[in-house]
Amino acid sequence: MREQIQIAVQDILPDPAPVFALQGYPPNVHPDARALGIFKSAMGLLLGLARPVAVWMDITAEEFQSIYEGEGDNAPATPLERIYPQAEHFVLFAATLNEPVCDEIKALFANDDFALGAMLDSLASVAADLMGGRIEEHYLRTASSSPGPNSNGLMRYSPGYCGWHISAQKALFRRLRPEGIGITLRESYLMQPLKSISGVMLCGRPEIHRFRPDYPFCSECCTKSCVDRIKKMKKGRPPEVRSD
Amino acid sequence: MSLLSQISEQLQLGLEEEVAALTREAIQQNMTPKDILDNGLIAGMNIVGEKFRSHEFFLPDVLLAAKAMYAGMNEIKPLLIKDKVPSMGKVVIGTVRGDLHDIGKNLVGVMLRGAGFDVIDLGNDVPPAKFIETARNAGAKVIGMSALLTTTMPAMKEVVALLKSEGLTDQIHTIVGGAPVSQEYAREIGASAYSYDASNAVDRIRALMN
Ligand code: SF4
Repeated sequence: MREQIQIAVQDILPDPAPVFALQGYPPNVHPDARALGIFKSAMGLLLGLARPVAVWMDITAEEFQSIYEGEGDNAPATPLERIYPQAEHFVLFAATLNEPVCDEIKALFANDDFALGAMLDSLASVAADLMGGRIEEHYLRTASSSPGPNSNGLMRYSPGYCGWHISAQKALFRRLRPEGIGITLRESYLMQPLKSISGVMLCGRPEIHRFRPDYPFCSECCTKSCVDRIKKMKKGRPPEVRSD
Repeated sequence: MSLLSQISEQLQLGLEEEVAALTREAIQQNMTPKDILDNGLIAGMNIVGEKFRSHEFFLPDVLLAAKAMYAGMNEIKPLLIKDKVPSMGKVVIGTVRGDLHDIGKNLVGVMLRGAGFDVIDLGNDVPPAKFIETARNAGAKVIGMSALLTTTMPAMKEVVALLKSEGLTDQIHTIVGGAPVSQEYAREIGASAYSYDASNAVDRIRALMN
């Protein structure tokens, strides 16, 4: 099954906390009224400009294996290579906030409106991540292969993170063809528009997603976002934001 | 309080219209554009940098101050050109190939301009050769590279290696930064300097220019 879905902007509006975290605020610091005013203005821009759209498709384990291997540049050992052979369902996805948001960020910087530009940039990054949660919900509601809406054994993984080399985007794009929703791949494997996400959702028993973050590349990882994701999965809640 | 101190103070508060008006007043009082720049605008931006470093200021504060700085700069720019006041030097900056994280790099650009440097911002996802070609063509003395992903850090090494192979390391210095980048990594790849935040980048680049 392959499906394109429109996501309501209202469903991906970020809370202030992860946005200010991206702006470099420590968790114990409360932004002042001026910073909150900029946040509110950026939110208004996001509401007016974002056109979130997503596409997802079921693939087989064999198909995913070849997408995972990509151009053969993955780290010698990765969490994903242990996880995916135990998964039961493989779902490719991509989503974008679309070009007008990215154009606005550029225009704000060009007009020296740095604070608003940077805030919209952070807001859009968090909103882009939130699109992943909406795709998960949609998949769990509608897919025939879905393990059911109560499943919490579903987790998203993306090329470019945790040893899965970003060049795997090439194979992912070949199979998913997100060009239909306006996402193209640059030579460097980054997506255009920039505020887009892509990857695979793996469904299976929740335990398959648990691992120890002690791979060589983990020592340089600043976010350790897997720790939170695994913790949330244990509690039975789908992970929402991945801020790396 | 002197006019220049007022400019510095209003700049720190991010009040662009006030900074522009005070700068015009300073020009009318026949202060030299270099004096206004060094002891009003740049002095203010330096304090903003210090406050940012000590977590008294955060990104929005710095960026509002930078906008105020630019408002003042716009007033004195024609005079600086007329007086042939040299810039602090040219710097090429960008986020390396495969990386789209812009905020840190943008902040460095804003702070560098605020400190009187000419900045050529190549944006994000910049191929290694583009850094070097741009720096060479523009006569820039420093290339600043930012990365936020461990997977994109090797592109920094490529730029340094390319500079070396083209025999340009004496003329063009490199500085690297970004969340996963460290002093050790900078040393390992042969970069000229490492900076841990935007205001530190300004200090390091100032040192590289001399
Ligand atoms: S520590 Fe970081 S790099 Fe390692 S698995 Fe977790 S998120 Fe990935």
